[in-house]
Amino acid sequence: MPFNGPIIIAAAGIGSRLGQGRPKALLNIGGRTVIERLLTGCLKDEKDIRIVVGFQEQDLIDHVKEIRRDVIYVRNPDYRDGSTRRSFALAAQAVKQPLIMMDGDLLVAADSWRAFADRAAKVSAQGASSAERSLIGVTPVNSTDAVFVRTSGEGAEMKVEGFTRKEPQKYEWASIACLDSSAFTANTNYVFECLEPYLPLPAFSLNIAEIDTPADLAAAQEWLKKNGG
Amino acid sequence: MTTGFAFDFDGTVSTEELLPKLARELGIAEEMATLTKATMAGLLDFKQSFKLRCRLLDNVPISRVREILSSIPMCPEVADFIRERRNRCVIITGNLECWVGEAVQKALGCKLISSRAETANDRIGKLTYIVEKGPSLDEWRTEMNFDRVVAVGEGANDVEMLRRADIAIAFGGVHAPSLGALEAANYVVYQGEALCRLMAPL
Repeated sequence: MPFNGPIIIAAAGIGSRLGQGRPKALLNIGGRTVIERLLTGCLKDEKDIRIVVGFQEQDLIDHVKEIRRDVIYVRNPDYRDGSTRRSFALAAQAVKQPLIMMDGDLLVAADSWRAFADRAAKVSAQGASSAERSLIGVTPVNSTDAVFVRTSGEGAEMKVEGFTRKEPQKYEWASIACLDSSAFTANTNYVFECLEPYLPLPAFSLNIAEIDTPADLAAAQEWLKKNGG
Repeated sequence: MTTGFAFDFDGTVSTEELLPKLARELGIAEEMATLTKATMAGLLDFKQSFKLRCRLLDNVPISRVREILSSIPMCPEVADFIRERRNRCVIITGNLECWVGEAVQKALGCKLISSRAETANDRIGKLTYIVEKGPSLDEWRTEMNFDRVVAVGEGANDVEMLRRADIAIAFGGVHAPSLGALEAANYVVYQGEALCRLMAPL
């Protein structure tokens, strides 16, 4: 079953840590762009896709339009400030129900996405509070510039207890989460910072490859061979 | 919070631009295209350009224009959206009321703000009013006392309306939005269904 709300993909940034001079969603990995892999892979059956665009927006729109005609583009003209939180906030302004947010520089294994979206659909429909309607994506540490996540419990009981850039942990923030549309109003730079007041929050371990640095890019090629997508 | 929705007509609600279609039907496509090109290049402002375009058409019976207009389908999702909220929607178009008024009233039933001309013997005469979309949007907002206004358009003459709206949507359902419309927009969509999905919760 597709998720019963919008999937918002942040793809406005410059990708300065990677230094390719292209939006990271347009990176070519194994013959196809990252965004094409997302849209034709794990997100193929999702009904409501919204992409936040900024840096080289016309190129990105022209590319995505050929893959899928029904995408809603959210413009973030202030993309140079580097705040992904602001990108999601702009998209969330036009949304009333819970949503799934994700970065546009990820590869996600299709079965892993399906399990996440199914559980997200359940918690977002049944949760009594904003925290109970949330599901925070984490992943075993695999990127070079990680935001680590302190967790408690395992499996369905796993929770996010804190975020840290300094103390290495088993998991890192996957930049994917199911949240209320009001979750992005705090004046922070990054999404994980505006989640901090609500911790602990339910966590879900995803199989993803995130691409922030040249080393991540090489690792993503390997990940792709193993996981497809 | 009450929200009003303002729509451009040509290429936003309708699936084809009226004036170029008229020109083709009447065998003056080249003349019309030349004018459009000069306008796009900034050699003519919209008022001058519109006056000249009407001049090209002033021998055409108004009834014939309406007939041609009636053969242009409207975007079904957008038309439904407007019909369901007709008291909160307005069409703001540079086209003449004597051409599009009847079709808008019949098919959509919402308010229309349009240019006007004197008419006699089924022909247009002197233009008496040419719409400026930005000020028109402001007047409508004040008259209706909306808390916020959403504007939808794609052409260069929609830019002022998009800039003054609280939420601006560039709609490329028929052809790609102009660069100006794109830069004035908060959202960009290319399909009627996506446009209505975006607007429904607003």
